Amino acid sequence: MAKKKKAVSGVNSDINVTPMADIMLVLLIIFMITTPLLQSGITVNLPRGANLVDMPEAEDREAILVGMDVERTLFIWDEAFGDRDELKKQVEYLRDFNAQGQAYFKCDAKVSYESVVAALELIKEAGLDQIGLVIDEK
Amino acid sequence: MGMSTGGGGGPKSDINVTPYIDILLVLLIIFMVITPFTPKGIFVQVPEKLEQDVPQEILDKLKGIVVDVKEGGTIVEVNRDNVGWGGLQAKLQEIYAGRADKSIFVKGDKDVFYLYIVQAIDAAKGAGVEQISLMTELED
Repeated sequence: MAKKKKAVSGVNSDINVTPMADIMLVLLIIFMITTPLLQSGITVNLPRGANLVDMPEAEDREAILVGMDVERTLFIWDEAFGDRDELKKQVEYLRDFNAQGQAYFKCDAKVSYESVVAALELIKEAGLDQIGLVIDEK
Repeated sequence: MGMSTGGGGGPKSDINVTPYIDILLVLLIIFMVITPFTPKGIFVQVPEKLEQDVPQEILDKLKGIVVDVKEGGTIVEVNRDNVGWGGLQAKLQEIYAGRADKSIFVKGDKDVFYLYIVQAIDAAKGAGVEQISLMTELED
């Protein structure tokens, strides 16, 4: 009788995984939400190189990240600027709040050099001559 | 008595969460791996806006090294000497091995894709160049 009783309400040998599942679900949601936010600016097909340096500051929301997609539209972060003068003004404005003193440039691999230089000159005119070209690792 | 037997061997009311946890764990690992992506790149300088193309003679006088990407990226010249993509890195390494001035000018045709310019910059960086300046060929 005593033995039977033990079988009914006895010790459960399974680990209770419910709290673990809860924690993992929360972590998963956090990562799912932060991953797209961490993407710096626009998504373009970046050129590739082998001799690169880390640019962790480019991820900083305060960094001046200028992008150019394959249609040659210019962006600051993910905001498109149709007018070049407006972009220049915005870069100048951002420059005053930025201690880094440099800009980052993210450009599609299949853009002509002419357009690239035009964009870089625009940044230069806005007072930033040190430009970090964001490149993918080979 | 009958009740206790039923309780002992009867259907379990708990949902089996093990496969669910497996899937969660895999998703979690995927997202954790994607997240710590730090952007990488190369710093370059943009010289003063060139109203006209700097004549090669002046650059020669300055003894600057100029890499020129031409003809849609098929020709790559180091100081007007076509070395080709295969020989670029070796050529630059040879030049910069015994050179104190670790600066370079990168020039390109207007219609050359950005990726070729980056390829040239990358090769220069690999040869130990510290200061890279971008120039463009301006046609009058």
